[in-house]
Amino acid sequence: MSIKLKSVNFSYENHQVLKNVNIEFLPQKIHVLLGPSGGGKSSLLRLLNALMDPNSGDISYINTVYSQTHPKDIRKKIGMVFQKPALFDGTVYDNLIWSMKVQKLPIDKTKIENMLSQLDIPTDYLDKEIENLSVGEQQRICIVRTLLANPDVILFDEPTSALDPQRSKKVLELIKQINTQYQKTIILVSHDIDTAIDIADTVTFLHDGHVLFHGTKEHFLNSDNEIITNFKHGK
Amino acid sequence: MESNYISISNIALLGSIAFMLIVAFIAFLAKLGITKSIIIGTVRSFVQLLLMGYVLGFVFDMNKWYFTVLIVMIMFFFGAWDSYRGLKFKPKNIFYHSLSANFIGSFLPLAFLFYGLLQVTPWFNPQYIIPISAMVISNTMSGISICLNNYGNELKLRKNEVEAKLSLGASCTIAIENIQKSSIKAGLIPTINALMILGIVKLPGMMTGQILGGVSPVDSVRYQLVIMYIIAAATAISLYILTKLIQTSVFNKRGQLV
Repeated sequence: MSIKLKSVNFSYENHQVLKNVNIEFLPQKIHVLLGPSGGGKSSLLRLLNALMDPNSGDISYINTVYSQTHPKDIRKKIGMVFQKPALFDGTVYDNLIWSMKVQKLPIDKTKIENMLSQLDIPTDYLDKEIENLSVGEQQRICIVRTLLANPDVILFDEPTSALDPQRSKKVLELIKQINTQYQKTIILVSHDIDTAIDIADTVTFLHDGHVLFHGTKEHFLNSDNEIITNFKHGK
Repeated sequence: MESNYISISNIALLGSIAFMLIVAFIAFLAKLGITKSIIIGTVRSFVQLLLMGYVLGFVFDMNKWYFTVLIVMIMFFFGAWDSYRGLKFKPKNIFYHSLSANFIGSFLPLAFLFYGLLQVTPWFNPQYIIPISAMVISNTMSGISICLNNYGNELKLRKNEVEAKLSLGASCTIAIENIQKSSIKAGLIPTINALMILGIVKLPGMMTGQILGGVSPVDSVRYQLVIMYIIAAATAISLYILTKLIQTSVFNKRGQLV
């Protein structure tokens, strides 16, 4: 059930963004990708969501080899929440049922209401127009919308970057809850160590396209690598 | 109606350049920085149209099908080329896409007009085929340019939305649907708006030309209406085809945005 990257290289506009990346993300854990901006974290996430393909190397999930599978089928198992909340015109309810409608799955309003209640989101939000929501609320709705598409793995690309500390905390709590309550594997990108480290099971540190560290949170916090130490101290 | 046609003499034609000198003078006075473009535009229009007048005279005299077809094909090609040059958004194969969309979109309504409604004989009669085709092709190409600019801007602004839709399991067609719709609308609106003001604010060029040529106003109106409707149909068909064709340029074979 793990996601494996083998010798993955990726270039964008003549710049090599990822260099020989070999990682395995174990199921039902929270994996946090850390590192300075431009290190390749978001590109890695976009490759995992099959929004782009690597130039060389393989990505696989269970028995699914990305290069041999249509991205649409990969995305049914691996969903993504973007940095900027991408809600569509209409109400919160319209947004939440969007993927079910597109994939022609049965729509169960009670299930949606139950999920909202479990995640501490008031059910009267359903009729709200999306433009009446704050950015934080929009991001939480994006998360629930992805969860309702029922993927095994959810990728988060800096979901708290536009939020203040209080709202960031709420979003991270929601992510943690999704991991424990719905047994989803989480891969979360952050450039800020303080926001994400608390909920992490493992940390992957990317610097200039290379994986400098991949292991448990505890090992990461004890790492004496100079670049990582500087990052931890905000340098 | 009795025809009392006044032709424009060479001196009158040269005299009309005075109007453009006024434009150039105002541009110079107001420091608009477009004086050079005005001069080039005036010279180009003078030479191009005069040349076209002689070419058309020759084609009319020859009365051969291949000359008519050649002129119409040249119009399609240069229309697409001119619009391509002014584009900021240039995805792969866009020149061929806009050429094909304009060709298919204009050809069908034109064929219906020429051989269904007007029953033009001989089938290549240049007096009808060339001017009417020119009006339809150029108007459709304007719609295509607006549509493409809108498509490029929307794709830039709404890339996040398109990728979020793909990520939620949508096909490329569904993910790009809103951008397609708004681009078709943007390209079609000038034509629809033109219909609204027709006869109130605007007496279109073709109708004016026919009236000057001695055709009765009511007959000119009939022609003008048919032309406006056919332009709307050709633009709508072309834009629909175009947006479907662009989809093959903005997504790769695996349905990823390129």
